[in-house]
Amino acid sequence: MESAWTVAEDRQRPPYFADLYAKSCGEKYGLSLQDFAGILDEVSRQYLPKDATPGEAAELHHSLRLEELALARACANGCEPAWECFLSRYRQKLYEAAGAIAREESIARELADSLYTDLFGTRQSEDGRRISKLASYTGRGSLEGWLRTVLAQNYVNRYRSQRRLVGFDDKIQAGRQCEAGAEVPADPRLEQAVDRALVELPAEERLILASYYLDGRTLAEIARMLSVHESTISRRVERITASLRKRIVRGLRERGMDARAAEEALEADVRDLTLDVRARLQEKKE
Amino acid sequence: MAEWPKIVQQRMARQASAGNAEHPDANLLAAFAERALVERERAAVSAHLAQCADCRESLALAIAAQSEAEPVADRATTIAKHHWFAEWRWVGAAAAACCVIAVALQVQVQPPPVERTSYTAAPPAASPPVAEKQTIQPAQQVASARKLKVERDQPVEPPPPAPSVAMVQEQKPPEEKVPSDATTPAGNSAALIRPLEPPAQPALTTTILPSAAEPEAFQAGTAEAGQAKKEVAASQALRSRASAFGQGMVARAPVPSARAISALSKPSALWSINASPAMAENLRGVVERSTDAGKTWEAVPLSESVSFRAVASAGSQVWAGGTGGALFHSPDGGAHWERITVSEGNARLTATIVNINAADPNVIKIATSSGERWSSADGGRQWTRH
Repeated sequence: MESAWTVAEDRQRPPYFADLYAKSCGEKYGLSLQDFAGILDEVSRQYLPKDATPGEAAELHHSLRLEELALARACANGCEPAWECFLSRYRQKLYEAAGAIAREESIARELADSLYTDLFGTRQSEDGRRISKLASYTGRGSLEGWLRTVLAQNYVNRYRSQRRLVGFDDKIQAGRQCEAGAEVPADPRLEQAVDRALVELPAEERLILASYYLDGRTLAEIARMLSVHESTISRRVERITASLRKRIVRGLRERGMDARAAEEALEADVRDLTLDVRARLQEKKE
Repeated sequence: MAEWPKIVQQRMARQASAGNAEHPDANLLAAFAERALVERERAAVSAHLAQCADCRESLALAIAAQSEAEPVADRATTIAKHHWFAEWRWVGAAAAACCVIAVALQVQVQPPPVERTSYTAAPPAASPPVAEKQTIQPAQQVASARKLKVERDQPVEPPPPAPSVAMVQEQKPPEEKVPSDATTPAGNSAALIRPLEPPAQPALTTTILPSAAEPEAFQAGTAEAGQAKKEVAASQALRSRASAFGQGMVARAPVPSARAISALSKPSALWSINASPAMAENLRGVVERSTDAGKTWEAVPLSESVSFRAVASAGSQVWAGGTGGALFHSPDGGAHWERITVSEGNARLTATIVNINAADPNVIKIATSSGERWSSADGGRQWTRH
């Protein structure tokens, strides 16, 4: 089945494409309307289901960072004016972001240089054109945000394994990362009840819990991640934790435990097996 | 106080180690951080992030780098948020105080004709539109929106010290001062809300309704004259405070628990962002409308990809804005909506709209989270960046 947003011919092209093309300033960077339509088509294929309606496609297209998308794709095509514009806007920011991520000057420079090389494109396709990483930018978020995220991903991919070796013991001691090998034996019913209660949580609530309890991030960091106020995260952590506990107890009772046994199973050895949520909530930002 | 059983931590870690499938690319993570994803995508990315420590770390590093790169802007945003809280706490108290005088006015005065005369629809200007407009689904969207019942025991923050009542006052365009008789004692209170002449153009009608507004409370508020005078002054101060955000009662909800209620677009409609209790914990801002004085709210699903942060109305003109520079306009009190692209030359508004000033139907002013200021002097057709 052909998707609703497929653009094969000019006459089939949605009428708003011309407006979006004008807003993207793609012409300035040597992109034709057809090139631009092809980019939108590619973005649609990447993010929309095949049975998406034209309205959904239009909404996606209107939400894109069109000017930044056209700039990035023009750079990927080797357009010199586009590169000049890109460098003037983003080069300094790229190196600053690398510094903020890596914290160490030599690593930061290596990180930024490496990404810059990827952006410029050192490999070539079969037809001799450079393959630039900028061709993978789709305009869903800002180009600056995308650059920061790519830097962060590269940093995590390259340096995380080393940092894990260094920081593993510390993390265990801090109770931040619970590895499978450190598990304490538990009643299978308890494991089942916990697993089910976790699965039933909405994705964002699981993300908040994982960030807070597994990663040890501060409320402020999680709030920034979710673009909400710190106090909102504080309230949600408390609420989710209480709700999760109730769900687990209910699950244990469904599995044949009485209320007291369920509570006891969950408490187990309080000295070793529980963390005081209040204390964690009151932790100041490190 | 709830405690965090270690078994839960263990099972979470185990689920995480077992469930790392395909990682979202940098586009999706960046869009997630900027709240530019639709709900379906956001849920999928959240689910992955909950299981993938590497992606969580990448996202956190990228956001931290942004915060360091823009420390001043970040602080400004934080300060603005706290300021916003403080402001609205004050407004809540002032709103409750205004309600008391409204009781006296409502009781003593026959249904004021101002409500009718204030909602003359503004005829659209004849000039061809310059800004791009995309027609959005008409009224059936609203009809299909779920109705949300507002619980009576949920007070506006802080809880109003007086019985919950409604205050309906006509507000002249911002450049005009409130008539001096608006501060006359309540003995002449009828004059306070009765317009001397029908307004030449749609006037902004502001209504502040605590969610627990009860009709019978209208009867209970035969306030004393001196008290009424104070309350009128309080209402003026309230409007003055509101002007700090945009010279109109603009609903802003950067934090879900906020219950900011906007101006009326027609006598029976209130507009807000996440006003209903059911939406209070919703991280995504949704435009809501109440046609029963705030007792129940219905979501107006304008766009799934936008988290709305501001709504404003004047007469039948309603404006709503949010993430990604998304701006929606309804010329007919919410029956039909258009998406407006705010741009000037090559510059396009892409930051989150946090404030809309639509006190004058033709002069629209927008403020964004990044500090940008945009305005239109022709009802949203052409825009200027300041």
